[in-house]
Amino acid sequence: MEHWLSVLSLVGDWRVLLFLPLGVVLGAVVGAIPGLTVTMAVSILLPFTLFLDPLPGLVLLLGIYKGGLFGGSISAILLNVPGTPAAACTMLDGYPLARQGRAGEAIDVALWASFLGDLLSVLALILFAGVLATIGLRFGPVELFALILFSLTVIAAVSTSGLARGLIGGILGLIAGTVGLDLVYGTERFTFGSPNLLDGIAFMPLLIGLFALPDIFLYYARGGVLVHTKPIATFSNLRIGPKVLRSLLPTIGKGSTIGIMLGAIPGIGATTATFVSYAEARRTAPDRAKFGSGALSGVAAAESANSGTGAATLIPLLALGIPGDIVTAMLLGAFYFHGLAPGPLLFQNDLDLVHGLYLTLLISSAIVFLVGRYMTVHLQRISEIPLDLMYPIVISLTAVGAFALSNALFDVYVMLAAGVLGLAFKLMRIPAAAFLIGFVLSPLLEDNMRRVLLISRGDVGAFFDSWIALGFYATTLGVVVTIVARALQGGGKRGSAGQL
Amino acid sequence: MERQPERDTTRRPATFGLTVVVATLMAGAVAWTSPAAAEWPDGSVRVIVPYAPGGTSDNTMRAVQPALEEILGTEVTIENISGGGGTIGIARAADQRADGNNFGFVPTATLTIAPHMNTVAYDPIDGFEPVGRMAESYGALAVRKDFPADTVEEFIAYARANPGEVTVGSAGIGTITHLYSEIFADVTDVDLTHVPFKGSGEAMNNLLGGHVDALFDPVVLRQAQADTVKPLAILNQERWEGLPEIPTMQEAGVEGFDVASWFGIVAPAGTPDAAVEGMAQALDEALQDPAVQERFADLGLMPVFLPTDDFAELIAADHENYGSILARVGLIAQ
Repeated sequence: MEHWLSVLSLVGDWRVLLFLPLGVVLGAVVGAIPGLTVTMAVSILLPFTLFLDPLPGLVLLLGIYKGGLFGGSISAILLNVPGTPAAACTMLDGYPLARQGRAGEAIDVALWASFLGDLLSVLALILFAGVLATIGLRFGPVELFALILFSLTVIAAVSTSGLARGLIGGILGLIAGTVGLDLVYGTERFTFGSPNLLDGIAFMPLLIGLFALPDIFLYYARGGVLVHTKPIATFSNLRIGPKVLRSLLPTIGKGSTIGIMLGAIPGIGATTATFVSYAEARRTAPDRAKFGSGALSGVAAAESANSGTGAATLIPLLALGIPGDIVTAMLLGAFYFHGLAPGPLLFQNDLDLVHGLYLTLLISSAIVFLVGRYMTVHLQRISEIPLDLMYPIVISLTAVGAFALSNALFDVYVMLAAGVLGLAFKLMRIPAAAFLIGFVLSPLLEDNMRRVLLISRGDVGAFFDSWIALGFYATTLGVVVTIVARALQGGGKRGSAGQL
Repeated sequence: MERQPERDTTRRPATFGLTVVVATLMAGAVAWTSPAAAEWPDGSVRVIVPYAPGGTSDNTMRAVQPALEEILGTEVTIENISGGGGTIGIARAADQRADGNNFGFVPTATLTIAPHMNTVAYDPIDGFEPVGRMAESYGALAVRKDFPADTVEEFIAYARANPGEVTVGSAGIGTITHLYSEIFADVTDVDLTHVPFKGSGEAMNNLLGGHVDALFDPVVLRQAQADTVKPLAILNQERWEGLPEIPTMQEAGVEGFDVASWFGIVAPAGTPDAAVEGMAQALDEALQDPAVQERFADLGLMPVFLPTDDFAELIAADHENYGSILARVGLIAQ
């Protein structure tokens, strides 16, 4: 009882109550603005939070983190610009829906999926942190390699213009992902002597250029400046009904579970989780035929997995003291700065704080939902802006965003180059999403493959030395066989990849 | 939640460049209006930290920042410029005006390892005026709980009996954590298999999961306190008060394990002596502040000041030493 009273007094602090909604709103706004990322907001505010007590400071940062997970979907749906990397998958169906005048529904689905994914993730953190952390530890290089191999089958799910074109995109992405320092020898690969490429091609500028710029280029190439076209989207229907929501619940449940499981494994990240969830939904959702051209399940799958990783990323951080991604790495720094050591000892020494954190995370789930409901009403305004006003704003924002990520003009060039590449892909009907998946998974696949071979000293048998890995290989094989069979069956005429 | 950490934890976004503009304008305006022989500090002082906020480097600099401000009587701004494993920010620091208002925060690897391995846009020796070393980072060698060795001696014996079979994780190729294991293998004459990860967090996860056998890294200290890994030796010359029963490498009988992860401050080449000496003095004084010492202890750091000339020698010696180690293990051309 005494413990819970002290927890309540921690959470009842006016700064906690102020910073919680403030963080969520800030995160949602930053997430929604192309080029401004949650990582950026957290890194700017982190030094400020160091001067606060631990809980208010952490709450502000966590609020931003969670708000951003939803906010990223807004610009993805309305503008085809992912506000955050993990929202890339949301674009695949969200933007087509917006073009069909169903942006309101798409955003509402994104909100419900985000809210439920986030809530389940928080509950998983509270109830199963220990178990999930232990499962996460089972994922060594062999298991990760098998998981990433399976994730590559998602390429088929996004290959709406034929499997061959999808594979070309995927392979080009895998190659682009090798730019930078080699993991084992530190050799510079395709860097052309530029220190800017040592860490590989910067992801956000690539993402923004690849998806947002081609449409803008085409618009101006067709003389769009002179014409007042109709708005990008209209909100014919602002909300989804309970019936639609109910039909999406299985997809959201699965997506959240995938997000939670993958979020609990350090080093995988939300972006990969969204693609795995998307592939799964594409296989089973009732509206799977519409995937890629505007399926509500596609948005639900992506957003539930995205938000599902949120609190789950805190599992290895709190239970083991290991950060799973860049934002949690910063949070770890904040914990250390306050003299708190996440890990098993945190639960012994600072249980009040841990429980206070849990409570605020639950509250923030509700705040995300309320803020989102409120925001969607007003977002209608964005869709009323004509394109010849909207596009210059988008271009400026994305250029500033690309620059601000590392204070480097080089990244703006990367964005423009990616725009040209995206345009070429569009004209050749190569799915940019396939390229993106290859690019995201390439280093994970290669690095883990090489770690397996290093540890086993070149013994290929090591790849099969794990039941988890064998399970993934079997699933991968099953999926590939289905894809090929469907592709053959469907015939080259339709050029369809078939249903996954 | 973003891709960058998935592929490389070192690429971290920096804060928005507004501070740069403001600081530059201020520095410029002040420099323009003041006489040449002005006293130092003249206006605010800026320190570039080559990593994102929240990392060890950033936390270290922020731990001394308030004390430095008080001693210097002026504002000390921290600018985080990340990327290229710290080399982008250091290159930026080398490029700043040598007017005594600009400094750079340097972790070991950026000056002594990275220049051997990668294309960097600065000269680690002649491109800077070393100001002073502020701290050394504690670290330990730890093995997974079920590893068949409880002491360094047993670890060496096991590694000798099973050459190449003991796997050692690291935060990445060319990081100081990687160098620890290479130097250890070199001085004890054992054959360890290096398995690089992207960041200490990933490496730690793999040690906890038993996917690698050992890790030389600061992150193992807190895990060892929580009894999730087995610590064998402290990598510094002194024991760590958090694990007082664990011997240092030297006490454990390992001779010649002369490698340390340090943090220091440098200025662009050509910075006036008054500024370099003034900053060094302020740093020395700041490190004696109990608040700074307490903060350092939380961060697993030892406040060990090294004045300008000694710091210059340390940089040059480490640079040469690590270069020859990297050449010996075949990571750079001899």
